[in-house]
Amino acid sequence: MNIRTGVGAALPLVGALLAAPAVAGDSAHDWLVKMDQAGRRLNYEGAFVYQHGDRLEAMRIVHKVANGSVRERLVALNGAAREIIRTEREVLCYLPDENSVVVEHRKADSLGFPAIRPERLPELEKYYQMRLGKTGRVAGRPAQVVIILARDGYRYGYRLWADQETGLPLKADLLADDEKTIEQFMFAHINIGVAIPASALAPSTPGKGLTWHRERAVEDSAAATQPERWQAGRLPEGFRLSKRLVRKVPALNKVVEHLVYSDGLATVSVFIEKPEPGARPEMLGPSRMGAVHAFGARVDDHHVTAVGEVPAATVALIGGSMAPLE
Amino acid sequence: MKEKLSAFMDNELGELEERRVLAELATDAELRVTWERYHLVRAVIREEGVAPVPGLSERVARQLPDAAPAAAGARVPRPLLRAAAGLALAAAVAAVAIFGLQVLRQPGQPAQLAAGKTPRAETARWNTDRPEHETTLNAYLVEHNEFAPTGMGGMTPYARVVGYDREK
Repeated sequence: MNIRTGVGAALPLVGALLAAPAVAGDSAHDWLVKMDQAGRRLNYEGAFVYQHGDRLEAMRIVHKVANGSVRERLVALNGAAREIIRTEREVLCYLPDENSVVVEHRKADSLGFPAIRPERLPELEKYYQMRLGKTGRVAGRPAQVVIILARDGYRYGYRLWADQETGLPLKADLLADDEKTIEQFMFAHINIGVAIPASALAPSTPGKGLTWHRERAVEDSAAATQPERWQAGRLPEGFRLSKRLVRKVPALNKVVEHLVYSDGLATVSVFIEKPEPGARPEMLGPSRMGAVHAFGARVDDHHVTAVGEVPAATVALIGGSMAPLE
Repeated sequence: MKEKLSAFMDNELGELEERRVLAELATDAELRVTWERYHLVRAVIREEGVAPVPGLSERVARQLPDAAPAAAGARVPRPLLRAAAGLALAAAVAAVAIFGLQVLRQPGQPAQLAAGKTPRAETARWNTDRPEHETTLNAYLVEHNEFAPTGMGGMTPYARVVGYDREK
């Protein structure tokens, strides 16, 4: 699902061609496919709110698809008029209150915010119960509710409102296993399938006079020095290794092995590092930030940290079972 | 005032101007926050392992009532800046932007010293009392988000960038 839906689905929308119109009788599965496609094909612009923890953000979004690539602009509607311009190659953060523009490269892997991968849908149903909910109304538009509930306590569920006409996700709730809402994303108003002039995607803050901070190309060449390979001894059902890389984490200036485990919807990253002798002790045990949980463990002379937007039990299980491969 | 602050950080102001800036910093909490950010951003840009203008914090602290005894601690903690030192600038700054400057909210940070006030309300934070763990977790979360194809997390980093620190 695109639950990147939050912004994901919502973000990666593609413009121009309208998605196939939804038809009565479509299943939850059909709706998820539709949501995913709408996100890749439609232009849209609107305003949404995003509630996480005790915070509530309001943002304007302009999303345009041209020649198969997405360009998107997010503008904070409250507080400092920060803006983000996202293309397939980079993310520019305009921080007028800081007199700065920060430019980050996007890694190939993150292109397109794929959200839900329709081909994994049948498999997903083993771990999630998917069903249609009622119809409702979001941002003044008729919407179909699609409910995705985890079949066990190792992943979160989602309640999604898809635009009846285009399939575009208009609202998304992240659900704990008691079906309580943990985070919410919702459009307050939206225009879908509209022409978007290039000027609407230009930052309102002139870049001139601001300080530009450009990220240097990231060297993942550290992979050459790859020391050991690790694996999880225990995984919740449906999770499997989807990516393994050795990389330098820029913000920490450390080389770590990064393993990505996913069930097709929920994703957990595991980072393994060998602390320098005399380094400060790393985090052991659980920690959380909103819906994101982390778990730290020591294995021999390595430190393992599992992080993901999943319940605490999931990172504890995965992070606590990491071991070097033979 | 921000231009002045910038010049101040570069030691480009005359004595009189400098005093004005210091006076302003002493009374304007918001300006102090800006000043902190400048520090962090510059430290990162310059990949410096210590506070970019050594002694600056002390200079300011001297001007501020109540702050003098703690002046020695006013410098941005070294290990943190050292951690920041080798990094790709944007990633660091973005992480800071995203996660709301926890890096600067360490004990002994200038704003707290100077203002003697409670720090501003936080953006979402990890529930750990170890700042260095928080720094690590934030960095890992940024890396993780690149590879998480699904989840509200997809929008979270962006939402936090545009939304951080709003409630000050």
